[in-house]
Amino acid sequence: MKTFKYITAAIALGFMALACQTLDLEPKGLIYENVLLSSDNGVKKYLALVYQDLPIEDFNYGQNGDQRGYATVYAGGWHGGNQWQAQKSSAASAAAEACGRALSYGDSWGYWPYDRIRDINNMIEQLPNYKDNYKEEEYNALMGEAHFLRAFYYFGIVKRYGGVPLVDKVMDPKAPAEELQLPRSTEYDSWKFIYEDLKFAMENATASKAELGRANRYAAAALMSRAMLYAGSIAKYSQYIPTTGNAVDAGLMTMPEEYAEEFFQYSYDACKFLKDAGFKLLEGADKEQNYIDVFLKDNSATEDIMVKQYGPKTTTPWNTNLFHCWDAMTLPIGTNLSSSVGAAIQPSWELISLFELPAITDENGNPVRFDDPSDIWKNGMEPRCKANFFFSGMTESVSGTVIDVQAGVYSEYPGTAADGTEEVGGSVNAYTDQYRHRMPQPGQSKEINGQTVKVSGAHGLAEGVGDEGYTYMGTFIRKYIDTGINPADRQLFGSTQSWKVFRYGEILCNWAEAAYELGLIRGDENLKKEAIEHVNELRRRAGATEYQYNAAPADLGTDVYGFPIDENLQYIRDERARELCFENHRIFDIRRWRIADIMFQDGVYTHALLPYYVLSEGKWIYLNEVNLHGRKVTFDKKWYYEQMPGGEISKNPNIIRNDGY
Amino acid sequence: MKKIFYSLFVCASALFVSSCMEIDNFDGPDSHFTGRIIDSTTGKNILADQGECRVRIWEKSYSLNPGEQNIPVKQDGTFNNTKLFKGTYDVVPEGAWWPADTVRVGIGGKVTKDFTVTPYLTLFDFKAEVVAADSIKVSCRIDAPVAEGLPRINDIRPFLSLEQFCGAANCIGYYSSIAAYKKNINATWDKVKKLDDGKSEVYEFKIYVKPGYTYFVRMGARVKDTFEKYNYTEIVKLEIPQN
Repeated sequence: MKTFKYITAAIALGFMALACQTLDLEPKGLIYENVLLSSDNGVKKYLALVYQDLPIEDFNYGQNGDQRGYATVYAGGWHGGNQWQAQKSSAASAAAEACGRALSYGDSWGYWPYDRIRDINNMIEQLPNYKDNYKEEEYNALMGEAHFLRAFYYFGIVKRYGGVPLVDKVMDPKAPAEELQLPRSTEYDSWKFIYEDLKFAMENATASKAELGRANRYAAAALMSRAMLYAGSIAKYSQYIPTTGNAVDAGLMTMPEEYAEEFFQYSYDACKFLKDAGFKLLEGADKEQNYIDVFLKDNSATEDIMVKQYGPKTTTPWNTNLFHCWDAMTLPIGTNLSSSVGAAIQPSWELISLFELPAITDENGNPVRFDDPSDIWKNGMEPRCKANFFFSGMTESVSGTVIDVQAGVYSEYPGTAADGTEEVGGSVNAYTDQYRHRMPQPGQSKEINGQTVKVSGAHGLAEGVGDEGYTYMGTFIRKYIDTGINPADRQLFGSTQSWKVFRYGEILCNWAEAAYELGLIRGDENLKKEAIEHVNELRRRAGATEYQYNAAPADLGTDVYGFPIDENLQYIRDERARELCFENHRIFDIRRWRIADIMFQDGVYTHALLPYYVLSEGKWIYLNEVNLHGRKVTFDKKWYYEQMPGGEISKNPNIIRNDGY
Repeated sequence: MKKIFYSLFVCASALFVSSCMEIDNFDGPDSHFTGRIIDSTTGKNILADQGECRVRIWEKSYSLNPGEQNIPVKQDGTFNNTKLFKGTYDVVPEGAWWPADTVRVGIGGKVTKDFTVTPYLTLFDFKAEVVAADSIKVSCRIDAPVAEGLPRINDIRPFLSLEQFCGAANCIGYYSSIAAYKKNINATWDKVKKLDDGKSEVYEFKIYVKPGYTYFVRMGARVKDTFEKYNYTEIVKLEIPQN
């Protein structure tokens, strides 16, 4: 009964508490705009989340699967933390640069970052109230930074959906629904909106490069060169995708070709702006090491325009730092190599074959015989290619391990390369059944024709180890592999090397493409020649042979895609694939060129580059087999535009759905 | 003390139950919408594959901007849905034919609506025969009922199946992965190689098959429109003798 009394007393006290009128107190632990927006450090705090969620396709960006999206914003929820699975759903494998588990563009994860855009709009609206706290140029720099950030978010949305609602002010949640339910703007207006924001940012954001990781006017110019190139190619090529419907009719997806010139010119001008500002390629005498340094060193004096930084893994509080898993997820399993998962994406022959390297088949279609598998990279390979991939026989510098890849043994190889590389998953046929030997585990030997020979390399290929950890494609990714890392950190969440968000190498690719497209539109030979000069600047740095401008280029596109792509333009695009591989550009490039649906029509296999020992001859051959797991990359035509998120349509019935679904 | 808890518990349970008392007064989906897709060149049902083409419907009485529902077109060229809510729908057949107009249909009870469409391509002179103990030969030609404005023609392919359903969505995948069993035409209609009668050349495929099996075989060709679905020949049943 006593307890009952206490309960009654407690309830009575509760009623008394309700009578207090002063519950509406300001909590003491919160910092408000008046503090945040009145100093540069406060603004940094205000923008922390905005920076963290920027749609940068970095090490933590994934395609299909639960973890698709960016490191901190993704389908599974908001701010779920760092994504160790990112490479399992890599954009590189969806673009056939590599083979991995993600085999298609990861559409419909519902990217809709209007919460961050609201934060930025709020800053743009409120900052004038605190103008007195800043010098004129400091104030302008902050406004410029805010416009750059807003443009970056819109770039992330517009490249997915086409035209979107353009919110450039803070909307009042109490306003009538009709005012809040903004319709989509046309795709052209959306790209122009991005242009206007970036133009403002280029003129106003700081010119100082002092703060690594923070946007300045050069970052704005770099985004301008990228975004306007996207817009230009969408204007030029979207006419070739015959999707029809309400959204197309309303101009919400696709743009008329006449706008292409305007956008390519914006891109061109932004590239020139960066060259005039003194950005240049990182150069060095040792071309291979120099190319590795491009991605691992702080190159803010030369090539880096904007970088995204990471810190070490934290345990308390959990996940408050940003880190990634590039080393553990791409290196093979081995002592002081990856200690967990490993080799989740592996380079494809589709990518490697774009580089300069020795022929692996002769003119009769027979595999070239090598004395050693390392002959393929020791002689006649472009240094940039060596810096991008680990081939068998290369030494990984941190562990000192020699990469050992052997796909198997051919007791003899009487046929042509085609006999051992049939277009079925794993290239299995009567010929391979007769001559080819493989083992289930790495580093195993077997008795063949009375001789005991090594069959599988220490790092693959091993048929019984699944699709990760050991190579089944014949090589590993070397690009971005940290050479200064403590080997103990080659585990999940152990990687901290920066991501080059914008670097001058990309700008030259953008410049070449924009100049060439402009040359085509205007019939200007000088612009076309200039484009090739930008390509050759990249090729000189890479240690590759320069490309000669072809004044009468063949049309390589019409027979394949149904619209013209001339030889020079194709070369410029291939150079982009070489220079920017694994930087998550490719999937968006083949998308904006509107070639992905034909490239991957009905699904295409990725191919390996596998070294085999031919027992009867004592020599080595390389074969381009279909990947062991029979994986096919696909791209549906509808993915050129993602579907508008259903949840947003239910909130805003004015949003018209994209066509083609 | 215990009594109080029990009585509180009973009261709370009663509250839970009372919140479930309202009866859903909305009728279940019981309307029936069915019909045929008629090929205007033959007057018969269109030659289709199970579930590839579709009749797309939007329930306009429910929302201003509704999501779509799809009713698949069956292999015999009909479509059927018996579980629709009564209401006003916008309806359009989508598939390997020239775009049809969207029509508004009131659906309630049983509604039958036939659509007459013009296919992009017609496949004719279809021949399929066993030529050896382990191979068959199929061939056909194509024609365009409406040549003007026809989208670029993608490809022509044979489809093999071990059951009566045969087409791009119901075929033996092995044959799809082999380049020799697909002819990429990739040209506009005026560039397609033609015979004297103005219709296409003969497309022929020799296909390896397993002895002792019964195959259902047809050919399909498609154009690069929004949907990229195939126009088909009829299906032929081939029995490969056991050797």
